[in-house]
Amino acid sequence: MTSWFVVISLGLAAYAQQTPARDAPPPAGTSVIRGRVIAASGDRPLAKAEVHAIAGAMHVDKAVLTDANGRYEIGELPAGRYTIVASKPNYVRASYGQRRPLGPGTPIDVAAGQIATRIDFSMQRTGAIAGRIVDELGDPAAGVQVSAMRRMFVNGENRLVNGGPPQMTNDVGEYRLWGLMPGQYFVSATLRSAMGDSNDTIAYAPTLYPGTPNPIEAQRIAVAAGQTIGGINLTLLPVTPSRIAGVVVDSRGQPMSGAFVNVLHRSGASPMGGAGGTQVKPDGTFAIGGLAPGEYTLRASMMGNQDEVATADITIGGDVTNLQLVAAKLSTLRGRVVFDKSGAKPPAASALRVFISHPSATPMSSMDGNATPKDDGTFEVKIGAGLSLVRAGVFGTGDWRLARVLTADGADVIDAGLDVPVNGVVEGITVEMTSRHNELTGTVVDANGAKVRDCVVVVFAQDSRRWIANTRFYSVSRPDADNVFHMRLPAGDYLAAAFDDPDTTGPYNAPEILQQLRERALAFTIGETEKKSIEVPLGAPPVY
Amino acid sequence: MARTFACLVALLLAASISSAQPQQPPPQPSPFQTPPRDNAQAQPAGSATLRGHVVAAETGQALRKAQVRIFSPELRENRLATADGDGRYEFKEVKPGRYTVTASKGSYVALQYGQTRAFESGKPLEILANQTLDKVDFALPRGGIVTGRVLDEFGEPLPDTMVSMQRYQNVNGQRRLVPAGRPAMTNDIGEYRLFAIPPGQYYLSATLRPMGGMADTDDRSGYSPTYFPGTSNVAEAQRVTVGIGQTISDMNMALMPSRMARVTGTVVDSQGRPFTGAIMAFPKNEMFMMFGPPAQIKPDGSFVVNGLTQGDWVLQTTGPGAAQGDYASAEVTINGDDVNGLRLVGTPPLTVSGRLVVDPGAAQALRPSTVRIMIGPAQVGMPMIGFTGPTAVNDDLSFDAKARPGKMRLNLAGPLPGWAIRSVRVRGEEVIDSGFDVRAGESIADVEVELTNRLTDVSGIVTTPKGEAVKDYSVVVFPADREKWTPNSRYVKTARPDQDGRYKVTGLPPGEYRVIALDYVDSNEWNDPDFLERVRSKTSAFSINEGETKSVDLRITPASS
Repeated sequence: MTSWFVVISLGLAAYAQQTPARDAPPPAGTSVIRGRVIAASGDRPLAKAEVHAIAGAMHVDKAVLTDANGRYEIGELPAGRYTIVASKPNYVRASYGQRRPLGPGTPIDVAAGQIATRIDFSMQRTGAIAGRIVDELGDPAAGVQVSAMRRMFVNGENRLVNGGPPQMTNDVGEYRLWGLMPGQYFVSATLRSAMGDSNDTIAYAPTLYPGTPNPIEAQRIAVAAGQTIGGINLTLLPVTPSRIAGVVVDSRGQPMSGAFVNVLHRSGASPMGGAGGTQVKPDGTFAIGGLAPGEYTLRASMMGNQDEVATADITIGGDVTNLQLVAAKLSTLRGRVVFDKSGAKPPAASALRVFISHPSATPMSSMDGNATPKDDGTFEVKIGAGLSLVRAGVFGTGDWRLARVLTADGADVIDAGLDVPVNGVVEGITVEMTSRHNELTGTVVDANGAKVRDCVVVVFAQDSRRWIANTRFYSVSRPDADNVFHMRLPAGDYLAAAFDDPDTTGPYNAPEILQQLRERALAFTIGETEKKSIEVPLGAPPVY
Repeated sequence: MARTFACLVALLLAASISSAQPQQPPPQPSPFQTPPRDNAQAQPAGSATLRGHVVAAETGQALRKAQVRIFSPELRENRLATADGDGRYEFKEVKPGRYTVTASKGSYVALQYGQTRAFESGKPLEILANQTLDKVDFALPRGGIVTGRVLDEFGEPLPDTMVSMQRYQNVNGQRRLVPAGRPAMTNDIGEYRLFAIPPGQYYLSATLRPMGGMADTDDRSGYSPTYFPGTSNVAEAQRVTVGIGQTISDMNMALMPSRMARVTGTVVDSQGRPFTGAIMAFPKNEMFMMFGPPAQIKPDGSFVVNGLTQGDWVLQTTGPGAAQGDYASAEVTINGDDVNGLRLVGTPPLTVSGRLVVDPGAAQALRPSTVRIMIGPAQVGMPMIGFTGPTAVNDDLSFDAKARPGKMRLNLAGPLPGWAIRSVRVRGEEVIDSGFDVRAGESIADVEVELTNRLTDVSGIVTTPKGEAVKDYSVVVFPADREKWTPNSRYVKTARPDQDGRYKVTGLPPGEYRVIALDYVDSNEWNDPDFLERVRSKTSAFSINEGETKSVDLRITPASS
């Protein structure tokens, strides 16, 4: 369940920054948009493609499916400027008027009563990577989990992250990774057998094509639209496995009988589902065999009960048999959300959400939490101990944003975070919201002074001490249909860099990347309620 | 009926039994410093050895890298050994107990040790301390392979379709089609490959459940589960016979389009505020294998659930809920049309509190902190979404568990070696088998849960009328009282003989029983009331009291009678 929760929090941040999302049905209109969708190879009509007409300013997003002839009609639209997007499983999403695959499209203006015709699409199929996995004896390896991975920066670390759902090899060792958007991928293969105890003398580390456990030595595979790259075969690398054993106790010091211990990768290529696990026995002991050397996080909890969790970070380079995991009950944080008198009407408590995150913990070992305040603004949330960042947002309107997070002593910990003690209670937190905001707008110009629309604008703090995960002093945007980009930022000193990134590798907030962007960036300062306009020169994209 | 492949399976077992019986040291007090001890008995260190070979049944060739697992639910042991280049595997330092052993590899049919027919249970191995069990061998037959493509009504390949071989099984007292073996998913060109299929007769089924989908569209097209060669009606489907090691290709199918309905409505929590979380929909009476992502509930409490085919569905909330873990659910019957304006109101979880009751003599042997109580739906098979997890019992034997409104049952969460629930009393009534009603707004107090460690033990050997020992059979034990022949009944059990030809059934509640030994019992039929009725006239009777160990030797009942 962790994955969609994260999506909510990102979505909330988006809500708070943009113009208000709609909460009433859009006005009916008299404009019509028509067209046809065909498959690029063979000019065949594409039935059941989803076509959206989107007018962000008016909060309109209306969609239909193409018929058996690939034709569609979206009617009753209010007059305005629309972006039209077509999508279908196994085809690359297409935006009308785009100049390259997955690039931004060109919107069209439709007047009242007008029928816009021939808004057509030629869609390209997604790509695929296929091959065969064998073990070190040359036998086909069945049941191997294979993933297409992309290199991304997560919390400042260079990690390989899944670029699509993993597939299992069949009985003859074959796999096919399909539905891939054009881009560059690495292929990772893992045979997981570390469930329960084992005395096996061979285990397999996650192996990257062409046959290495090291992400730096892995070979990139470029996949174009509609292309299948076959013959991506690899041989699993055996390693000497290690066995870990220990005892798990709960917060009362009793054996945590029946809990499940999960072993999760902490770095490198991390296959989905972790490295292994086992159930804790009645006497509180557990043992897991077949683990490849590496850095892991152990996480023990009762099924269905996340109130008590035990975690430990371990490095395995041989057997480890004296582990002691002690579960801690979640700590409690209590506070109140207040709104300053900056003019706008405060929202209903049910539209508020307070989020607590742990920036320094690995994703699986942190116990983040969120809460909806009561009508009087008070809230209580249960979270794991450690350095915690408090954030808050409002659904449905961009008028309010987080201004300060005050402890009971009056210290503002909005960026520093606060230390939540183990099994403890933190009270008296004040979350201050304000409707005062600034407005940064700008354009990106190339060497000839022409405005550029196909680019990414990255704004980050001049002070490199603020280049940390979850920082507020960072924003990314793209120029809109009028070649203008918009942002709202906390007051401060910033640098702005713009570049074209066709592979959309992002995110860009790793210190090594910001260091590269700093050299050609434009420096500026913006106050709390200032309206500022800048012109950013187009630079070269960062090198990964 | 499935072809037996007993002729291809060679099972040789020569156990060398050592003389020592496991020592039973008296229970010790356990300060936290030393490793905590199990309930009632100290766990002896593992000292037995188990080894054997895994070969291919047809050729006798060693199956290197085959995976062998030993599993003992009572001891919570779960260990894996991988066969070497000669197909040899070994487990060392095995704790004494009763184990099932399973071998698997790639496209071969996975077998439990002692299994001679497809869909039959294996035979357990009784392992004693310091014992070496040799020649625990497996001959795995090649599994069948079925390949093909799945297309939509326009001839376009359909990816993400779940394809499986299905057979009828007895699930919770109902005959249902259930996937046998691991299902396959179609890829972007609509291809699938099913392998390691045990020989038998199946229905080939393809199901595409939409994952999410557009909220703001009028389109209602979807697909109903379809059976080869291309019908949504099982009665018209063609049975597919898979022989040992047989490959069947080009099993292509077009899915049957069907109209799907949308359900819209609102969810509020117990205080009337919009619910925070998401809504899941699952079929009320089917085994639901594929869950799409839940539909998010918007900040104003409204939701849209798409893609529901005809039938009975249950909508249930998941996620944090509002303040204290509220939960809401509703049943909806879809007959093709949309359902709008559904209103769900959350209820806070209710408390079911009470205490454990243990006989005074046994109380010292019980460590309350290892006992976990779980209150779940009385109808077994309902998904446990939205239900709170197990509750630990306090040192004074009291407990406070959470429950949802509905018909509930109280169980132990996880096996408690050596113990069983003897009685559950709510409002003075015995509800251990019937379950009890939890009503909205009403917490329940003073629940009494009686635990006993005086478990019954019934074992014996089976002989032919001439007195010869029978080493391969299945025993079914069931209560004389037909009222107790309920799905997942505590009173109905089946057992297979160990390597000495001895069967053992532990933990039967005291009472009057019938017992029969048969050559073969399908692993999904043994608790079917129709089957019990058919064999009742050929059974022997016995009765057993609490804590009693009884020997009940049987005559094998021939298949023809």
